[in-house]
Amino acid sequence: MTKLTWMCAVAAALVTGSGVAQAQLKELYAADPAVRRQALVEVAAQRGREALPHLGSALYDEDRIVRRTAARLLLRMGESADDVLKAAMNNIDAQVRRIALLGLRSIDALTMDDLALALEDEEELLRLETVRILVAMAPGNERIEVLLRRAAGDDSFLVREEALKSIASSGRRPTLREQHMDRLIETVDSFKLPAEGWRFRTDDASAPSGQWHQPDYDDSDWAVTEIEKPWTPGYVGVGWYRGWFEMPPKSEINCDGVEIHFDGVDESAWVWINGRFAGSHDIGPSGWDVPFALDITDLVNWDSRNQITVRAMNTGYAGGIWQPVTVNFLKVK
Amino acid sequence: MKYVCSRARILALIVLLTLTTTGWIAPAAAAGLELRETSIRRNFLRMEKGARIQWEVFNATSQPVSGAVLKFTLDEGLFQEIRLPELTPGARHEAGHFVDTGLRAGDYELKGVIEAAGSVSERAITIRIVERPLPHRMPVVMWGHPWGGDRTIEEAIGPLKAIGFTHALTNTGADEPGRKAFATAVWEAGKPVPEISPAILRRVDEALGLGFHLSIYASPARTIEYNWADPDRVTHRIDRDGERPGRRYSVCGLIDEVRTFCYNMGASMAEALRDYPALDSALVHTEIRDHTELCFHDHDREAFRQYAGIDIPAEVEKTKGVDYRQLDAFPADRIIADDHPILTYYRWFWKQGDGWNDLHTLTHQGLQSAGRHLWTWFDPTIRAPSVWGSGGEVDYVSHWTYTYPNPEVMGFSTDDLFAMARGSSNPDQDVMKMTNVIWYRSAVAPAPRNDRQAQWEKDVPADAPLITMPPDILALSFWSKISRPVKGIMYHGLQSLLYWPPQRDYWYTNSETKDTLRHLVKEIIEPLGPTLVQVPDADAEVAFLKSFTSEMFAGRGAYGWGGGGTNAYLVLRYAQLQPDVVYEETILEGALDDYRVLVLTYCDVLPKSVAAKVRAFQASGGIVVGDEYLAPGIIADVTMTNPKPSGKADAQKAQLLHKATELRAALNPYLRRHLRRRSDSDNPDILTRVRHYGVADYLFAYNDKRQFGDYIGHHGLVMDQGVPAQAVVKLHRAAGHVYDLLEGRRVDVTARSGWMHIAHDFGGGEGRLWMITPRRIKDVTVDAPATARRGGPFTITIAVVDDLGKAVNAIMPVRVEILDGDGDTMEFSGHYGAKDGTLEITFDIAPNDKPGEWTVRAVDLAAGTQRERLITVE
Repeated sequence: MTKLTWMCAVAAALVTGSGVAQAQLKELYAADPAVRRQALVEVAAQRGREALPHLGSALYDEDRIVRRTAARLLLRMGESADDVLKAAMNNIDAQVRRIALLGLRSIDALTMDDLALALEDEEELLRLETVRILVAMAPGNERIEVLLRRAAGDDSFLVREEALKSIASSGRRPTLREQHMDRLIETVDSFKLPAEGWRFRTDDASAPSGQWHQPDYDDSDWAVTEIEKPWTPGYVGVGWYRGWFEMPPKSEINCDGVEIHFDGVDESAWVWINGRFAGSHDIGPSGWDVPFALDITDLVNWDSRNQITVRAMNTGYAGGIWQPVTVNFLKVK
Repeated sequence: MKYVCSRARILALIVLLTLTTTGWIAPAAAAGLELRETSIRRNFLRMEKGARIQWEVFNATSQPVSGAVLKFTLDEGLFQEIRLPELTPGARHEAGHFVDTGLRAGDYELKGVIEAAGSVSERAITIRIVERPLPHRMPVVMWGHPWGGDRTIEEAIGPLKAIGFTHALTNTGADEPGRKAFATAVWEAGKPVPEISPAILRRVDEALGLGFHLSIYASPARTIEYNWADPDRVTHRIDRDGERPGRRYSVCGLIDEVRTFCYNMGASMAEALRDYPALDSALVHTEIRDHTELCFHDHDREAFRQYAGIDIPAEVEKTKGVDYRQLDAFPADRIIADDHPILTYYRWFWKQGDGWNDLHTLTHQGLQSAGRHLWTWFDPTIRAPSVWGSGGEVDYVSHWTYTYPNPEVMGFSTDDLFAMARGSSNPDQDVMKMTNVIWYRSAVAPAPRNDRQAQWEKDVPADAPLITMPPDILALSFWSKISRPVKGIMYHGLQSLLYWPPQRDYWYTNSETKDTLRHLVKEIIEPLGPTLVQVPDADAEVAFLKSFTSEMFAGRGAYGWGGGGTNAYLVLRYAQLQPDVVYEETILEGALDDYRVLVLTYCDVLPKSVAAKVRAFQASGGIVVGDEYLAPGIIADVTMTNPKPSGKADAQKAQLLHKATELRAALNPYLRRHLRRRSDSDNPDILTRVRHYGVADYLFAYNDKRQFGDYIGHHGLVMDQGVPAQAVVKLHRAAGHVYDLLEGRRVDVTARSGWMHIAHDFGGGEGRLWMITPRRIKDVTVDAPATARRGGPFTITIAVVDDLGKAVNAIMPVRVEILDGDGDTMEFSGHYGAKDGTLEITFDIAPNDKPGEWTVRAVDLAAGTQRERLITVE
């Protein structure tokens, strides 16, 4: 239903004087947006379904808060607002579209096509909301998996992070430094991960990347590569690294925690240790030369071989794990 | 000062000598009596009640001594003579006399002379009478002090006094064995043991002589964790398997012995320090909830069962909640039942189940048990989730803040403290605020760059971990906190504020920081502090929810650090809004009725009752600002995404300013009718804030325009240098008279469209404070009797009046000078906050004060008017 249709419905309501008092209707079109908004709230509260045309019209108000108030009020009306909410998915205001998405979800009126379309929306928050809905639907069908994989390559780090959480087994844990911000943390020992012996492949979102972080995944057909240097010059997109490192016996190290320190990944990274999500570094293109560390105390296996997977993303120029990676053993002083 | 007086005068006015033993007076048999003072005190507050010095006469000979006479003189005038009883060999005779603290403030020589069998022995001491502190003085506390070494008390306190500190923290023992002995004694006795180390008592007494106050570190439960009490470690927490959790010892707060011990420790300190007025306050525990642990003793399980009627949920594994994503069948709208078992558990745990809040209360109660109120505080209060109760019933909740990379984070944590205090079971609980002068080098100036190093980076070791905060950030943090109605300010990191060798972890890397602090304290806190502590906050119309439920189910929360919704809060400030932090409990109390805008950031999960209140708020016209994480069950009217993390301080601030502009654009249509912004600035870098009392507004403005300086700025992590900026600061008030409280003068401003406009050129890191009253301040009046007699009181009444001659209904800053006939400044001279424009001072003239023409002068520090009155003192 278009804006014009709604205006016609409103005009008809005005002419017939049905339902709503004329004075209140006038306030719906007052110059002051605060007055219009308050009138909408009152109309919705007092008139129920009769308020639908007015709410639908207000979705096109020039003031964003009035528009979103109308969308919120429609959402609260449940199934009776189904058509209006469907129409609102095409609203020019991204937040109205987002509210409509939530409204349709709440009345179970979303189709997979709706969700696929929503994932293409220009509004970051709407895509984010879509991913959350998809994650909540999992374990779902293959279509859901494909959509989530697509979302994992989204331009927005919020959307990427949310999609990747569905792949990860748990959220990022606070580092030892974060847990003891008022303490001095001493590095009592460390070792550098070997630069050689890594496996690598690019990710075009068409393959089932959902298993690539698993320690027992067979990566024998991946390319052999080295870190501490950028990947193939000019490649823009996502690449996955898989490697291994040996941990010493715990008895040899008197420490309170273990962190993995990256001197630089160009430009974003998501890290798994032994199949478990350690955390990410995703602050946009400016993160290409920003060192970061992740707590892996509870993820490593002492006195044995540990598997590491790094998903790196590059949006321009060089990319990849171009600086050394170190495992630090930390002690709280 | 020397005081020569007649014996009769002194006998009448000064000393009561009480002999605690009496006996048959025998002829003197031998000399060799020793006289010494056994009490520690030498310093007394003027008009202090019950002030006394204990003496002891000891017969060090092998013969009885009789007929001895003990004489006391004060500044060479005889004032008491006592015939002593016979003293057998080795006998001691104790005498205590009260010191007349009605004397004029100053030093006096008190000499005791024993005459026996023709020989004389004497002992002289200096006592000091010090002026009383003025009312409403704002405490400036140095949190932590490296007592010890070769420094005298003057050397230890003098540099702090020079900056303007009024208090420093001291411990219960001069060294660790002393502190341990004290704690062990109280634990073993199972009752108060008022035996604090004499070295500490001496320190407190000497501090009084310097006009300085000390706060005792009262941390009984921590002494258990140090293993000074409970050596068998029967009080530690246990996990579900009965094992000790965590890396650190964590005492179970629900064990009766621990609770009793906390009270007894407080009571021991109170009793031991009862007669030491310089010790007027106590820090109750500190930094303990960071490492609190879940506990699964039978009594813990039973306590929860009693509270909730259910067992501790199986999903509960750690103190900071359970990720909702890991819970089956979690509601899609993320609105959960108020009695959700996990929520119920964590609410219980953080309010009472971990025991700490009650332990603070018990320690506080013990500290009050000697009949003298010691004001108490707890910190860091908001290293706990956003639920009422942190700090227990202490008088003040406080928190230390590292103000990098943005000094306005100080404001966020200060407002958070007010939200916490609002729900305390101590209805008078208030807020103090601490700044950490130490900065973690790793966070602000990591590995030195080869291309550019500041001089300090060449001077200190490469692994020096903690450095001095930059002066301009200290200034901005200062303005941020005093623009809130805090009752005291604190600083930590003496060895980084002052050069104080040996330097170990704390390094002194910027000498300008202390100069800045000295300037701020001397120019603002000392003259205006008595006013500021009495001026409440203005009502806010924006509420910022810190959601406990989201902290427990989605891992949110700032916990007093820079995370959580800190950046969103900063956006509100750059949008010139003056938000209150509210908790879910605040909302359930009906607080949303007072607000027009509710900001919900990082509110992933909410309880049903809160969600219902939010919806009702919207239904009544309130505007909800949400973010990308808001529970889908709540629909925001305005969506403000959180700033994305950035490794660069300038980019991060640019983001904040941009989002502030966007938010203003969204809210602007509503400002006129639905949201009254109290203050504004045409330059977003100039942050404004308003406090209000009576008819007066107190408008704060401080310049947050900053750039990368040459101290740590070259690392790109903190813009450490303030930059001058111009602004027109506005107050939402149709008319009034504006007074610059820093300069004590009226300021010409313009008023239009319901706003008052104040143009000002701000220096880097500069703040200003203006007071606005509806009528012009015309005069200050001084009323006092024409004559007064020494030894008696007289009353001075001062009023700041408007052009109608009425006292201004405001807290008025006033400086009072009382000068004797020689022009010497007398007690009660100093700065006041005259409530409702009036001030009454009762002055007690000492019997040894100087007669003559005295002057009482009052200066109103707003308009700069002054008056004086002469009093003939006879």
